[in-house]
Amino acid sequence: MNSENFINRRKVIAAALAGGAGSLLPSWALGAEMTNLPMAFGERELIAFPGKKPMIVLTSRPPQLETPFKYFDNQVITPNDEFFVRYHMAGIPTTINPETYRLKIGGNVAKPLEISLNDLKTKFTSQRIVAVNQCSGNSRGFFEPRVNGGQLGNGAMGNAVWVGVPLKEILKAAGPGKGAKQVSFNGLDEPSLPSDSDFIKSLDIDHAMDGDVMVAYEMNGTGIPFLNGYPIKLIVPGYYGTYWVKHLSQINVIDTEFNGFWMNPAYRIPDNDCNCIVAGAPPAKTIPINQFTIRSFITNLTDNSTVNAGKPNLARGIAFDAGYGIKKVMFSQDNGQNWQEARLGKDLGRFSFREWTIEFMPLKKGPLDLRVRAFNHAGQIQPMTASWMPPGYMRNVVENVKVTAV
Amino acid sequence: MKKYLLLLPLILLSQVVGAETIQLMQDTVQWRKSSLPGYQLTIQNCSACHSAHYAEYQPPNSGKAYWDATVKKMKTVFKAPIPDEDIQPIVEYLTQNYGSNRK
Repeated sequence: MNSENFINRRKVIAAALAGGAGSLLPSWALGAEMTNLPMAFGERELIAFPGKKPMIVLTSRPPQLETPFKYFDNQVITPNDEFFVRYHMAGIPTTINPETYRLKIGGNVAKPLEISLNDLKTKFTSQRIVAVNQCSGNSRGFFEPRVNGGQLGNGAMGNAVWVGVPLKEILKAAGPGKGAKQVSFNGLDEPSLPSDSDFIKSLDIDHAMDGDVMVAYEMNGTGIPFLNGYPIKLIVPGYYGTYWVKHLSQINVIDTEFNGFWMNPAYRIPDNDCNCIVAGAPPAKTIPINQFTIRSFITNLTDNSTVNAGKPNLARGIAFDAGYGIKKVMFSQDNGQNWQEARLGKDLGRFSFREWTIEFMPLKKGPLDLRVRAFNHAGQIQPMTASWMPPGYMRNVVENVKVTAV
Repeated sequence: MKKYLLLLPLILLSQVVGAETIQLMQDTVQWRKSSLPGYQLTIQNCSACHSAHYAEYQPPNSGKAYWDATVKKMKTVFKAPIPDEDIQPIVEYLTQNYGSNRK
């Protein structure tokens, strides 16, 4: 499922010439490369948006960009210019002045605050966390039966070194009042028409105060890229990207459970042990989406790869979970009948991608069904069969890569 | 006067240096052409807020019920000012050109 078929044909040019509409196309689109995600209607453009390499365009306006899967191979940290982008609102900021930028803390607090970027960087103790950010709907396009929403392959995830201030310290400076139940987060992006659908998210106060949740101003040693939330972004390690509010501008301590559109009914999952329902069954009682499921991927081989029969071959990739820590990664070259334990790479922290490698030797020529399965310290194991839910979140089935031994 | 002229570029430069600015992309995917009345209504009502990608990649099992719910969500949740009489033509256009009927 990791194979994106990079096509060198200049489909955009061909389409423009066929329709005689070349002059209507913006000049930067003329060279757009195309790729195919392995799903029906999986053709996508690859376009370089500001601050980004050519990325898979899920939507251009507002920008939603998926990381081509080949970028995940052999680098455990995802570079800023390869990191996925997901906006919700039509009104996204295009100019931000760091000199006048303020993070406001309000609601039920003893002392409302307006913090400048300079104060954030100099008046609070900083912390550094390596953490995966993953879109709730990463891999949605692989759901069967298919579900509506952004039709993503596996590339709406990334792993970065985040530096910023623990949210706990900021909240403590403002002094949450008695009865505080949740904390809500808003960024500069907004609906283009006045409505109550602004992208606002919330976390329970205990979670907000856990010391891991942070306001980051640095990503991989430099400023946060504009499209990833410049100049500050909420980091919620182990939780889906929907909580990682970009261009963070307003934090409110509230006495109720925040119930805006993006907390309810959006971003909800079935409230049961598997967070799943039988396809076509009536919708279940739901709760807000929360922690990542455990996942692993092979990154150096795709469905088009060939390997050597009778000789050792290298397979490598990544595994991650919600922060319990990867305990082991098992590898199979025979459709999951026999498994070998992979070697784990350097531990960059419990919220990070964990690299794994293994040498395997196909005994004979022919097709091989490679699988990789992660286990964590909380006893979570990737399932062998996919579960289903209407919004297409949290896919974590054991993926397979079909290669040929020659 | 000469002094002011010299200062002006410096002031402009400092504003540019101070702020981070990006230029957004134009849409690359266009709404699928159709003779249905809903084609122009879709361009008029939907393009103000988002590109045609949102419909373009929806899977082959997306039928009329999905498009109907989606257009109504745009009106009720996101307050898109879609006249009531435009809703059914738009739903019809989307149903005939995307999802199960996409060519």
